[in-house]
Parts: sequence; C-alpha cells; structure tokens
Amino acid sequence: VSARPKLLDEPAPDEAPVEGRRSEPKKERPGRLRRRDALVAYAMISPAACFFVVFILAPTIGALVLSFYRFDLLTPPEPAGLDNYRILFTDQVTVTVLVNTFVFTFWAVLLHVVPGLALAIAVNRPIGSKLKYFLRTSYFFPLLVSWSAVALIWRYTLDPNFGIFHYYAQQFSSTMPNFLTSPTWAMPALIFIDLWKTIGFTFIILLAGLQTVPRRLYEAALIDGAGAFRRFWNVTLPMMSPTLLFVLVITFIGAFQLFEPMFIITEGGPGNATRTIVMHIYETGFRRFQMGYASTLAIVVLAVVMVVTLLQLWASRYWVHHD
Amino acid sequence: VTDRFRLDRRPGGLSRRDFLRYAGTAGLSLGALGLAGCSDSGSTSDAPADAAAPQATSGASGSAGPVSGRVEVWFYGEAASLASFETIFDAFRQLQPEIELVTEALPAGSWSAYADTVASRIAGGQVPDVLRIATEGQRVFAHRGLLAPLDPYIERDRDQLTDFFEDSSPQFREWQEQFSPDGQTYFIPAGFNTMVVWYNQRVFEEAGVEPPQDDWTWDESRRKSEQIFEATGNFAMNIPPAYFAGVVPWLLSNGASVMNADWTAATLDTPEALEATRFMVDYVQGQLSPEPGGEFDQFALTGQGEMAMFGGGRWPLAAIRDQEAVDDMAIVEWPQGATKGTPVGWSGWPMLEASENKDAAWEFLKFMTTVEASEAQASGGTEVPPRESVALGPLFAENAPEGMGKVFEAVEYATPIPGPDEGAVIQADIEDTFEQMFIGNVPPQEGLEALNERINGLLQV
Repeated sequence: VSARPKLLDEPAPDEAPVEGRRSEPKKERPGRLRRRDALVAYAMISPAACFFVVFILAPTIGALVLSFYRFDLLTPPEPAGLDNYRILFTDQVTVTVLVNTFVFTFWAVLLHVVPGLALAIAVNRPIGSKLKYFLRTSYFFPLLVSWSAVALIWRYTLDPNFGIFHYYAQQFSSTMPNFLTSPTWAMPALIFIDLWKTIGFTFIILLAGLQTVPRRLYEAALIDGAGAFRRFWNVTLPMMSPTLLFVLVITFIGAFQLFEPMFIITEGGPGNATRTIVMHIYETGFRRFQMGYASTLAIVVLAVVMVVTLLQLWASRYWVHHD
Repeated sequence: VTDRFRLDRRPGGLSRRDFLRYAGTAGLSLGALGLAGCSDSGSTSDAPADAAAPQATSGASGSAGPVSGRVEVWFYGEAASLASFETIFDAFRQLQPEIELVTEALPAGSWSAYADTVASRIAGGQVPDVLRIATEGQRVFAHRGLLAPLDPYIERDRDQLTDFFEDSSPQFREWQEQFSPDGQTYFIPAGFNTMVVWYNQRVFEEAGVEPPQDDWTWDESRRKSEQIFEATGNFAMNIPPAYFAGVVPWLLSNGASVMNADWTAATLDTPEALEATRFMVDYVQGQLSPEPGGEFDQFALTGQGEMAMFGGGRWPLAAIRDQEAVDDMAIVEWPQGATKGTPVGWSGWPMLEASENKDAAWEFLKFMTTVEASEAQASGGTEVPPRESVALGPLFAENAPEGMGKVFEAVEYATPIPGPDEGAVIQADIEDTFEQMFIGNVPPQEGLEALNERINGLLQV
C-alpha cells in the first residue's frame, strides 16, 4: 500500500493535538492563500492592465476631453462645448465616409469568412504534407508584407498604361477599367486587395479551429449515413462556431478601422469614393489641424465598434455552441 | 520679443502643453483607480510634457563667442539628397566640435505631408532647434508663432552674412516678406526648385522631330508630341495630376493660378484656368500623356527613351544619373500659353522659438549660408542652392544635362507655389479633381467650379 502523501500543514504523529491548535491553521490558511493568490493574480495581470490603461483607456479619455475643445495642435486649445458634436450632424462628408466604411466592412467580413473557411476546409483535407505546407504558406505570406509594399505592387499591377492587367487585356483585344480612379471600381479594387493581403489571417485561425473538431464526431456522422454537406452543416459548423465568432469580431473591428490601403493606394479618391472614417479622422486631425473634431469622430468610431461587437456577442448565444 | 513669440504661454489661458499634460494625466489617473502595480504610469505623461517645455529667451545673446551644446536639426528625407546633407553636417561638426549636432531625416510623400509630420511631432512634444521647411508649410509655422525671428542674429553677424545675401537671389527677400506675419525674417534660404521641361534628345532625333527651344509654345509642344507619338507609338510627355509638378505650371503659363497672390481666395474659375485645364485634359485623353491611376517611373521611361519629355526641376537628376542618361537629356523652359510662367517652391531653415540653444542653432544656420554648404548641395542635392555663384557655377552643371541652369534662371519669372494653412488638404483635393478631369470622370468646367468653391470654403475656415 503506498503511503498517503503528507500534507504540509498536517501535524507530525508525535505531536499531541492541542485543543484549539488544530483549528487555527484551518482558519488562517484559506485567507493567507487567497491573499497570496490575489497578489500573484494582480502581478500577472498588471502588465496587460498597465498597457490597457496607458495605451487604450487614457487616450480614450483624452479623446473624449479633446472632443469638447477646438485644438489646432500648434496653439492653445479653446473650449468648444458641444460644437464639434453639432458639426458631426451637419457634416455631409462624415455621412459619406461612414457609408463607405460600412460597405467596405460588410464585404471584407463576408469575403474573409466564407472563402477563408472554404480554403481552410480545402487545406484540412487529407492531402500531401508538402502540398499542405506550401498552400498554408502561400495563403499566409501576403500578410507578412507591409501595406506600403502591397500598395506599390498593386499600383504597378493596375496601372492603366503599363500594368500587367491591362497588358494581358490588350493581348486579348479587351479593355480593363481604370480600377483605382473609377468611382465604380475603386472600392471593389480595395476590397480585393485587402482580401488578397489579409485572408491568410482568417484562413489560419479557421484552419486551427477546424483541426480541433473531434474526428469521432465525423465518424459517428458517417456511421449514421450523413453526406458531406450534412457533416459540414451538423458537425463542422456547430463545432467551429466559437472560432467563427472570434473571426467575425476580429475581422469587423479590423476592417472598420482599416486605413493604410485607402491612404496609400487611392488617397480616399476618386472624390470621396474610398475615403473611410479612420482616414477622415487622420485628415481632419493631422492635415486640417482640427483635433477637437477629429476626436469627436474617433468617439463615433469607438461607439460604433462597441455597439456592433456587443450585438455580435449578444447574437452569438443563438448560434454559437460551446460544447 | 520673448512674450510675443512664446509658443506655450498665453495670459489667462490654458497652454497647449498644459492641456495635453492635464488631459493625459486625467486619463491616466482615472484609469489607474483601483489598479495595483501601475504607480509609474503617471510619468508616461509627464515625461514628454516636461521635455517639451523649453522656454528659452528670444533674441541674440549679444556675443558671437564660442558656443556649445546640442542642436537638433530635422530635414526632408529624400534618398537622393541624403549624401550631400551628410557632407554638410560632417563639415559643420568639424568646424564646431563643441556643438553636438543631431540630425533627423523625416521621409514624406510631399513637402506638405512633411509639414504635417513636423506639426504632429511638435504637438507631441518633440521640438527641434532647426528645421528645413518648404513653401508648403512656411506660412503656417511662421504665423502660429513657432519660429524665432532671426533679425537680431542677422544684425549681430551682418559682416559674416553680407556676402551670402549679395550672392543669393533677390527673390528670397520678396518671398520672406510674403510669408512673414510681422515683417521679420524667419528663414535662412536653403534652396528652391522651378519647373522646366526635361527631354530625351535621342527620342526627338530618332522621330525626326526638331527639339524644343526655350521660347516654345503650347501649340508647338502639342504638335511635337503628336509627331513623336506617330513616329514611335510612345507617350510624348507625362502630365501628371500633381500639384507642383503637373497642374500649376500649365496654369501659370496661361496667366492663371490656383489662388490669388495672398492666398486668400481660389482663382480656378477663370477662362485662363479653364483653357489650361482643357489643354491638359486633351493631352491625356489624346494619349500623348499616360493616363493617371497607377504607378510608373517617368524618369526611367524617359531616360530609356520610352517617353520623350517630362516636367521637373532639379530633383530628377539623381534618377537620370542612375539611368546613365545624362548625355541624352536636355532641358528647356516650360512652354508658353498666354504668357511665360512657372512655379517656384523654395525651402528655408528657420530656428524654432522653443529652442533651448539658440546661439548654437544660429551657428548651424550661419554655416548653411557658406559657399561650402551650397557647393555640397549643388553636387548632389535635389534643389538649386541659394548662392547664385554656385548655381551658375561648374559644380551645378557637372554631370547634369545641357541646360541645367534654366532651373535657376526660371526664378526670374516664377510664382511661389501657393501654400496656405490648409495647404495639404487643398493640394490633395486639387490632385484628385484634376485626376478625375484627366480620365473623363468630371467635365473640366464643372470640376473647376466645384473645386474653386471647395478651396474657398477651406480658405475661410
């Protein structure tokens, strides 16, 4: 019979139990452990908490304060009351850029999740490990390239005079639209370029989620006679739903705040066709030096992102399975 | 002088730095409530505010004796001019070993974007002692009290500077007065660029087209371009929807402009502006110029003989040297429409009012007026150096196309490129609108009228 491991606070056999003494450690131990646990917990979360306070909470409060001032960066600020919020409701450009942002975000989320999941399922099939490695790397690689380089690549590619798209169109006696200067095509072009660059992130997250679905569930479904679509609908999707929720939330937040491609590739043009809310904030604050109004717009972005994210989380109770 | 130009203090008001500091500290304090282990977070907001609160006195110290200390200099970061700047900085370090010269090149897409970057950094608490700033930014910096008046220093060291002012273009004086909010001098001239036409002689020769001469007209440029297109099938001249390097030279050479002389109202609704715009639109839509909407290297294409001409100042030289096409290229004046005209953009070295070491900063500014500095700029720079003797000398023309001096000569009839306070936004709007007119999205008259209205709206903010 193996000896029972001795507990640290268990009295030695030769120690005579003393009335009141045995119960003393029992009273102190939980409290002491709780304090120690609490200190350790605080120590563990303090870096993240400090980061949150310094880089997220404080700037947010700062932006909120600034939204009640007129501030041109270079001279002292002046109180503006609610003027910046009044401008918000009369500024037609803000409405335009918000619509642009929602259009971009809608397509970005849709095109990242559906093809991202399709790619993940395709790569998760039993194929050769070298091919799988190659495909994973290929899909993920554009994510490692900076937006500046991506912008330059696509500006060269889509150039209406010397770009490769137009070259091949001419070879087939066809014509291509001037993608980056057409009010019709500029936004779809940016959505496509963003998809090309960032779908690797969605793909890799969904692939990781896919690989956690227990194989026994597929085997059970097969035994029950489920076809490929049934297995996808009744096994894959429910089991992937927490991962899909994560991807939806992250993609929405990222797409809504995207700045670089609009700024570098089209500069918001033609006209305001590709100008988004974050680019509008940048231009208002750092080109027009209206930091107070820019902060007001930033508060709007915060509110929209928060409301939509909360809606996503609330709606998740109806379709996300946490089994 | 001190009170008038102080950046941060205003009687009875909350200073800009105090505001930033209080806003940051309030945010941190609120956020830190109930949080353990964040006791040092407050210093995060204090540090930049303290570091950014230099309150030095204005005006020359009265003695021109040895000075020391740290001088921080910011300049527009272009790969083509970095080497010549390093030469200048090294020479200054050897001359003034007691002064610790710290330099930083700030890369940007344009001079107005560079001015935005500088303004943002200053707002964030980083203030250099000396700065290089071009027309697109000079007025906003001078009018907001960020710069120290240089007159007391110039007066003190007049003997050392007489040679420079006699050797530099008299237009610098006019431009200084135009940008000064109070008649005082805020900039030591650093250089300038005008717009001229660079052309590949070999392309003209192979196409059997007579090369352009200085007094050529728009009609001639159009005719020659059509002949080149017919003979080679290539684009003749790039007319980009760029502000300085595309739109404004055509407007000015037809007696039009983007704004009036004091930059208080837009002037794009004139018949001359419409005529110039239609000329540009016809050029692009007639396939004589590449259509905007992508990316290509006009200097490389012209250097390689795939295009005949492009507009530029001194700055294409580095690219043409890289192409080893210096001997193929030549330079002529901008073609004339109703008149002779071209823009000029000039850069200057101001001293920041918030500089803690103005005497040492002044030593650096004085060094920038020397022949040595102008020569370093001439050999590798992207601008015409401020000294006329250097700009017209052999160093400026060395390893450069025939006619390089025309970039300097054009200053006599050039107009400063408009750079109002809202310059960056206006420039972006002009470029976008002309791009849309070039590709046919918007008719010229409608585009110009709408643009004119928008610019006036921005100027009245």
